[in-house]
Amino acid sequence: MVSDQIKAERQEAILTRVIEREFAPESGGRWARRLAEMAWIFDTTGRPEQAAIASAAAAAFAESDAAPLRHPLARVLAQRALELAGEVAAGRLRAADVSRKP
Amino acid sequence: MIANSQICYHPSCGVARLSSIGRCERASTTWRSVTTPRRRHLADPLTRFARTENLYPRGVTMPARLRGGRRPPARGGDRLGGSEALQPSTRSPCPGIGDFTLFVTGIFRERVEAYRASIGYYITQGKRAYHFVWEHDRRQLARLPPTRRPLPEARRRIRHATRAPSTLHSPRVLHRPSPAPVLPAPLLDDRSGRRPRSGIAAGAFSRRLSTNGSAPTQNTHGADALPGAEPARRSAPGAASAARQTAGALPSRSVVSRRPPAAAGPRGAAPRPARRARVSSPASTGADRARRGSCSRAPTAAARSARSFSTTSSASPRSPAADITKRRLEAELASLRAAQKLPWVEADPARAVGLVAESLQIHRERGTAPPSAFGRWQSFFTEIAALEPPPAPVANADMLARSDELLGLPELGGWFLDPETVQSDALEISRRRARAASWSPTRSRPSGRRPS
Repeated sequence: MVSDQIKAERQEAILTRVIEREFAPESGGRWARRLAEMAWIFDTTGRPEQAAIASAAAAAFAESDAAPLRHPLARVLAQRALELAGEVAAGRLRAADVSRKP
Repeated sequence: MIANSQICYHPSCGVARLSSIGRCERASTTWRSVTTPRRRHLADPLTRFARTENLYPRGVTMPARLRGGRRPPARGGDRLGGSEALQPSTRSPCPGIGDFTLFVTGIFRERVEAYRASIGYYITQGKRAYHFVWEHDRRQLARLPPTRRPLPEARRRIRHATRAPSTLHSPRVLHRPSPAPVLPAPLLDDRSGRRPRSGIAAGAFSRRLSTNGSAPTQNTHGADALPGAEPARRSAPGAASAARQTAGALPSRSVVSRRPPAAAGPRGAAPRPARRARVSSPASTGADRARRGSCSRAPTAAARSARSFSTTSSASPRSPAADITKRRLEAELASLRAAQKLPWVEADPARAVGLVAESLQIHRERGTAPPSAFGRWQSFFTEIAALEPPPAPVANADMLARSDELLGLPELGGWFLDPETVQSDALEISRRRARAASWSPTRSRPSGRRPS
């Protein structure tokens, strides 16, 4: 029998592993570039608040000592990917439907 | 009297009753609430029957009932005494009967009742007369062919309001770039002086041009007609063959076209600088997006941007985009917009080109390939430098805490890591959950009764 706290810690460990692997420093620059581009698009289309959020998210990725574990966007992205993969593993979704490969 | 009265439409009060205000307790409709057509319908018999002689049928000077002395229901008799009123066979007396009953039961109701006449009788006859008129008109209209039937009043008003001046046609003048008086006026029919209904008669166009071009002193006019022939062909389909014939006949008359030098073509000529470019947000599905779960969607988005840029600007020499006709270009842009509902942003062409080059550079660094659809454009970006990195964004902790809100926006709806890259992690989570569920006390407890 495993307590809820231990289960949460184990799940958090898996999530941390995914974030550290997928948001490595070399890919963090690309995420920052993408978010900066989105900030420009938001600003051009008259959405300054969302542009500021995207710019702040890009700045967090662009920092040399960036900690993606504390990045809300990175955490949500990783959680979303795990949920989708879990659905595929359970057979409720097809892998081809959620795959990003052509 | 009318101003101080109200109309009662209660069935017990007759077809209509004009009584003093407050006198009829069953009155539910005041004069102000009566619509304008109904007012007009009521005001007409009131004004018509203000003259007593109008109460009688045409040709009758004395009421039949009054002559008999038995049932004088109203002042001067009524229209209901004759047999034709009781059994109407023609339409002409019926409107008058209906109006009469309406008037008498409304104005002289007490007098009718005083003479012991039946109000119900008047109401029945009035309804019957109006119904006969309605049925007669309906059958008359049904006999007419549909095209000759009059429109209802509402449809007639709509048609009148929206009627386009289709009968008025302004003459279309031939657009001709040359100022020479080859075609001083719109081409008209030589005989009737009217403009042909569909396009320009081929013979008329040819005769005009050949007449102007035959005289040696006017040969230059014929040459001027050449550039004017093409717009004329476009504006008037009927003149297409005439324009072609004229263009072929003028050189035989030593008429040299004075066409301006051809503009720099797409092939072997100086390229035209791009003036516009469109950039879409990097939120589209692509061929190489997130190969290993990391951010590799920028190349795809930039490739799409490059596609839109190339189809829009035709910037490069020997560009295949130069071969794209205008119709095909519009179709391609329409398909792009239909495939991606996200907003398009007008951008500097240099920025769009730089984004494409940047994405290609990322592809080279990662060892991936851009989408196959981009292959036709890729060769034009080999020598273009990548875009300079933008200035570093300003950090903001408060805004950073809200960064997860961005994933709810349509532009970022497609942003997620490839589930395939986290498949093993998801399986591990699922296994641990299943193991925890199998060891839970609710599962391990036997379902049978506990032994006492």
